[in-house]
Amino acid sequence: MGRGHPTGATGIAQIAELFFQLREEAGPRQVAGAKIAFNHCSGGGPNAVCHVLKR
Amino acid sequence: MREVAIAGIGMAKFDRYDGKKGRPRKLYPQLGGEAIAEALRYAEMEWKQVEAAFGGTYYGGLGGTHQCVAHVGLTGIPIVNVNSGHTSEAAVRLAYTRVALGVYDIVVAVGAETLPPGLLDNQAMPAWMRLMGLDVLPAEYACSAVRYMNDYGATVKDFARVSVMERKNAIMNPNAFWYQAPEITVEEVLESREIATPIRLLMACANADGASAVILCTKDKLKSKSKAVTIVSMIQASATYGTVPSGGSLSVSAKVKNPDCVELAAKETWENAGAGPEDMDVIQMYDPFSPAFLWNVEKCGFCKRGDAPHLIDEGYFEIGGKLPSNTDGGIMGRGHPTGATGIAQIAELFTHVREEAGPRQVAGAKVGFAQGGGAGPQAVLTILKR
Repeated sequence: MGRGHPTGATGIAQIAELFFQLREEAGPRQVAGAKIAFNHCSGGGPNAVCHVLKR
Repeated sequence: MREVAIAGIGMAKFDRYDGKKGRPRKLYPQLGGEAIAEALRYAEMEWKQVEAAFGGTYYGGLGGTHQCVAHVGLTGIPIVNVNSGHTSEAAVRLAYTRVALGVYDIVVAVGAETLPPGLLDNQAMPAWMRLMGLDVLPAEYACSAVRYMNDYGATVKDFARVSVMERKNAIMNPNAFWYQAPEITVEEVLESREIATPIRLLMACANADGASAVILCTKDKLKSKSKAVTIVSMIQASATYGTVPSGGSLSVSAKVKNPDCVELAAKETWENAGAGPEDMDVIQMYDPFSPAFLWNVEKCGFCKRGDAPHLIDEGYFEIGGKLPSNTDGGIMGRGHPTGATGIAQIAELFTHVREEAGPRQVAGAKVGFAQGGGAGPQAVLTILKR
């Protein structure tokens, strides 16, 4: 709703956001002490991809 | 890396499925589903054993492989769509590496296409080139052919001989577009309508629909171990600066210094495969326009630059010749439903090394080579052996 949804670019945008949070590079939107994170994408196909990232 | 075997192949005959002139109306997802089902039957495997699917179409749109798989049954497996030139062979390579690396034991790769009629919109070209009309494929291949004629003395007769050979082979292939069609002659090719000088109508592939599928697995998962076929090498390359995205290539001449994707992939193949071009018993070349056959056998290292025109005249590439090529009819004879062509080439090699090719069998074939190339540009070179 906020970042927007250029379909082909959305999945990696979600992973990029988690990456910035885990590296504490998210500036004013930083989640304090974030060390592990979850990403979910789904869409046409149907198709679902989930990742867990950690620092 | 684990050894990867081919358990089965399946094809939906390359034809027109447009509902006209008594022909059935079928779209690519159904054709893809039929090809997968046939590959499963060949492998004597059940659909629930398949752990992942990889595939592609050019013109099928979003999630084309999902749509093919849906015709077989939705079991929740991961499905990966590839969309580029020689898309199904690229999908096979992706599938092959997943099995080799131990991610899955049994996977399927599928290529399927319903082609629009007429001149194809070449979506691999940047928008500005398409708007300016620089994506007209016959014209691009014509430029390449002129360069090849200028540098090596090739003639339109040499190009015609490729068409004649491939159409002759297709007569014996029940899955070919030109199956059981009358033979054509060099004169007929040369008298056919000129579409982009020096390319004549019968030097261009017919628009066809169709599908092809292959089941890959670790050797221990094969239902029958007799005449097991394994993948020796599968190398993929894109281009360096200076080659056009359509895959139509100016590097048909050794005078062009930037190597194109086929040359890059060939170099890597022969450096790593533990075999050389002289070891191949049967080969499949990508030639959407018949002149491309000649420069592609040269770029893959099967003869010296400029020698292919003489060799085609001598019957070198015929079934029964020194290096049987495009035995299933190639693109001139088998047809070219773009997304389905790559796996069709692999299927033909598989059929030969298992000695199941019937009247077109290459006697004693044990090792086969396929060259896929296309928009991107992209090349995928495959070696199979029994």
